[in-house]
Order: sequence, then C-alpha cells, then structure tokens
Amino acid sequence: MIFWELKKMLKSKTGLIAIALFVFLCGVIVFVKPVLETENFYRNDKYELVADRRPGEEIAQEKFNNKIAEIETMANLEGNDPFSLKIREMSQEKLKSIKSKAYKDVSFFKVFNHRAAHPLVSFIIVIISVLIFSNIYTDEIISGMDNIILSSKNKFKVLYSKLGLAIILPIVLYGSYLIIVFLVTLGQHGTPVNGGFEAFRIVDNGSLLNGTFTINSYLMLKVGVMMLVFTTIAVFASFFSFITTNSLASISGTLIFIVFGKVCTLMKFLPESLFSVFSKGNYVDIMFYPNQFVGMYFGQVNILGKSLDLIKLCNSVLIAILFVGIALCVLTFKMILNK
Amino acid sequence: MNILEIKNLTKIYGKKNANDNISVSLENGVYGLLGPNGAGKTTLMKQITTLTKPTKGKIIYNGKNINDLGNNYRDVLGYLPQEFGVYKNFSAKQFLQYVAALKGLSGQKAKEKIDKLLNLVGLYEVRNKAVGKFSGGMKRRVGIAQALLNDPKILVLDEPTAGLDPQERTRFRNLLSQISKDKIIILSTHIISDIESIAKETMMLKNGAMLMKGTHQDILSSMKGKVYSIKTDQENEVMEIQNRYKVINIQRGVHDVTLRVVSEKMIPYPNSEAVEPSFEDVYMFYFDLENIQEV
Repeated sequence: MIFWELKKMLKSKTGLIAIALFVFLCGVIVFVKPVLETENFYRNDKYELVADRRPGEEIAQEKFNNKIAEIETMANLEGNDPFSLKIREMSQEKLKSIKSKAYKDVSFFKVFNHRAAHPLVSFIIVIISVLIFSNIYTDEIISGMDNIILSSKNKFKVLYSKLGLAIILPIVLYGSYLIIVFLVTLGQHGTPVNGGFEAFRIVDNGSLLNGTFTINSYLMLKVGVMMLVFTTIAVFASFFSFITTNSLASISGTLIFIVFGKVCTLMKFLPESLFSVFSKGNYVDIMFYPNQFVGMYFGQVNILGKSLDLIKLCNSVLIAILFVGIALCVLTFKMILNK
Repeated sequence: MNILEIKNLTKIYGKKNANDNISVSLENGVYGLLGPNGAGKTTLMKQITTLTKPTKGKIIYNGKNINDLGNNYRDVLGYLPQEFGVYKNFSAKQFLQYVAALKGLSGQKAKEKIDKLLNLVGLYEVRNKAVGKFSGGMKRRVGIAQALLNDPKILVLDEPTAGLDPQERTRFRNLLSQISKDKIIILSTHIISDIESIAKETMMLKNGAMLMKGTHQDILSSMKGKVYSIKTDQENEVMEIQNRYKVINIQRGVHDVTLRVVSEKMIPYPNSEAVEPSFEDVYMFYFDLENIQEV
C-alpha cells in the first residue's frame, strides 16, 4: 500500500508543489557557501568588505592555530564549578586527540557541513513535510474516500502505510538532498579528504564540542539529528491529519507543535531545568541554528536529583517525542478511526 | 444464503439516539431503506459497514458478530457512501486498481474484475481518462464499480442513483436486480421509484427507530383507504384542503384542479374518492413533504 500512498501523493497538487520546492532547494543550495578555512573577510573602519589576500594555506593555518589556542585557553580554565571542570576536561581531551597541528584541506567537509543543515534546507524540508503530511488523511476525508478506506479489508495497511511514509519520506527526502549536495560539493570543492581529522576544524565554535568527534562522526550525528527532527515533524503532522477533518486545523496543529518549545522559552516562570531543555531543544532553534546544538556542551541540568548533560537530555527528549508521535498515531488508528 | 441479523442496535451521539433499538433480519435480496434526513439511515449503514461501532446491540453475519469477524467480514462487504469522492488525478482504471488493493485483490484477478466492471458501468472506453474530468453521473458509476470489485455478499449503497440520468438509473436498477440473487443489498435513497421497482422489502426509519419493515404489498395495504383524490374548481377550496391535509400532488386541469391527499379520516368533500395508494403516499403519510427530492 505504500506504493499507492506514494502514487497518490505524487499525483496530487501538494506532491507537485513538494517536488517544485525540492528542485528549487537543490538549485539554490549550489550557490550557498560558507567562508572557507582558506578565506578571510572582514570589514574595515569604513565598513567596506575586505578580502584577506594572503595565500589560502597561510590563512587556514592561522585560523587553525587560533582554534587550538582557544581550546588551550579552555583547557586551562580556572574554577571548580561543574561547568568549568567539564569544559577543562573536554578541552584537554581535544588537545590530546589532535593528530596534527598543521592545517589539512577540509574544504569539502566545511561546505558540506554548512549545506547539510542550512536553515533554508530545514525550512523547505519542513514546509514539504507539513504540506504533505498535514493533508495525508484530511485529503481522504475531503475527497470522501475515508469511508471506503475504513470499510475495506486492508484499512490498517493503508493507515500504517501513511504512518510508515511519514517516517520514511523525510529520511528519503533529506537523504536525496544530501546525495545531491555531496555530488555538487564534490564538483565544486574536490574529493572529501581528511574526514578522520578533528571536527573542530570545520566547526566555528569547536571548543564547545562535547567530545573528540572526527569530522565524519560529527557529520553523521548532525545528519541523524536533522533526520530525527524532520521525521518527528512529519509524524506529528500526520497525527494532526488523522485527528482533524480539514487541512487548516491539521496544519495549525502541526505549526503549534513546531513552535511550542520556542514559545515556552518566553515563559520565564518555568522551572530552570525545563526552561533549559526548551531553550536548547526546541525545533525552531535546532532547525535554524543546528551548529549551536549538534554535539555541543551547554552544561548540566538537575532532574530528580540527577545531574544530566543538557544536550544529551534534549536528544533523548527528541527521540522520545518521535516515539510518542508514533504511539499517538497508532492509538488514533485503533481508538478514534476504528471507534 | 447470507443472513445479516441486526439485534437491538442503538447508537447514541451525545444525547441523541441516532439509532434506537433496531432489530431486523436480512437475507439475500434488495432492501430499500427509506426515511427523511436525520432518520438514522446513514448511521445504520455506517454500523453495518463497521465504520462505527454500536453503543448497544450487535450485528451478526451468518451467525458471527461482525466485530469478531473483522477483516473476514470486510472482505465480503461493498460500500458506496453518500459523499463519495475520487482522486481527481487518477484515471478510472487506476482508481479501481487502488480500491482493488484496498480490498486485497491480487493482480490478474483484479485486472479482470476491473475490466469487467468498467464494461458493466459503461466506462471502459474512458477508463484511462482522469476521473476529475468525469461528470457527476460518471463518478457515481465509478463508485458503483468500486463497491462491486470484491464481489461482495453484503452491498450497502447510500444514494447510489443520485446524479444519474434516467437511462443510467434504469441500467443500474437492472444491474442490482441481476446481482441480488446471492447478495444482501441495502439501498438507501430518497428516490422512491428506485426502491419501488427493485426492493424486495422496504425498511422505514423515523427518528432513529424502525417504523416499518415489509414487502411493498404489506406497506401499501396498510395505506388502503387513506389516500384520496379530490376534484374542485374552487381556488379557495384548494387553499383550504392544503391547510387541512397532507397534499401530495396538485394537478391543474383546464377547468378544475385535482388534489391527491393522504388522511387517516374520510375526506368530507363531495368530489373526493379513495384511490390506490403508491409508495410516494406512504412516504408522505409518515414523513414530511420537504424530504422528498425526486419521485
């Protein structure tokens, strides 16, 4: 039945809009590029953009040296509070894990990392997911097909196919985007080399990275987090589609779900630990500032007397939300659509 | 032989009894379901098609509760809902292929059945055309074809002939009569002539309860002596009769007016006579005029 769900989707106007958005995204992303390690731009006192004319290798080495110096500073941080202790420990580990103090060409990874979780990408993939999955069941109601589906022998196959698609399609969509970006970046910046070196070589705030990630493992974590976010949003969009009877209600429900965490950051009266989780783990900030979240360390929170790593706790909450979404959909199939 | 037994079926929505203690036993043949809007016809059909569960009571198919039968019951079920839409960008053939997949039909068997049904409903020539470009009647025929795909033993049709032209309606009635030999067909419609011409028995619902069930003869005989024809040439008398009785029809002739009236009591007009009742009279007697859409 998944084949039929896909076919219905591709033949609908929403499907065509989704394809158009995806093509637009892949076209635009070709021109999106971060400042490479071998480049340096700054504004002078007349606010004119000035490009550093030194050889790229020299600029890159200087930037790399600065990053190491920053980590060394962190490694010698004074203070015995848990945050300072953890930062010191992390920085010392990072220094130990440095394989070479010479700059290595990481241009491919720098660009790929930038493009893999660019806010525009997140925005468009979320729009596509919301458009498709907020209508995945309401379209059946509007077209009058819901009664035929629910009175058929394979009704649960249809419903589970819709849920399955909500889990798989964002992954396939984002995966396809990554493949295209990989190929485009390959053409523009050469082969991906030196992926086994330290992740802080391609990350601007690398001193806050929690652990000694290699570039490859950092990128895998980032892709994983983004897939988790997109899948969760798609699953909840489907859930709202299953429990509402029109697109407007369904899309509104999904949007409220997406911005709920961010809105909660305005509620200063919330308990500190909960507030911290909302501040770092809300979908809006993860989509628009993924570099501030993926693999980072932002201190500990106390929950039920236990001290937990904030970002790891947020990751666990995000995974739990996905499973809650799946469970809600299954319950809706059994309790509401089969009442 | 298929037997569908509805036992003490009650469906409550909030404080309203949409179906109120309905008990009826159905065997192979066409059953007409008649009642005004809000009488509980669609709710009854939704329970028969497992779209909603009864608040009280049960539905038994061949000795087993349909809730326990689950997919085995849905496997022998065909349903054409009142509000039947289609995927506009699918061709008629693709749409039926999709419904075949819903009903768990395999490739070759489904293909043969789809071609046969497209021929039967007269859509074979336009099978590859997008359903969105079909007329209302053509869409309804696609709906009829999808309901028949799995060769159902219980066929539930909610307003199947709405939007069909007289020729299509006749063809559809004939089709139902042909296939009703080994099926239970429940036909809900406001088009009384459809029920009159093909239903073996008619069930009449009012306010969620079963008002009457029987053959046409049973139902019509209960109306004997309650239908009158009154001839008058006085306009003020026409007005008076309309105010006092349920008038089914007013036929204006060259010099006089003939009114068809239903009444439990004898009509005290000089030019009145009792006439043979029709199904339309029965409907009018029990229900309100505004619910008759077409006769």
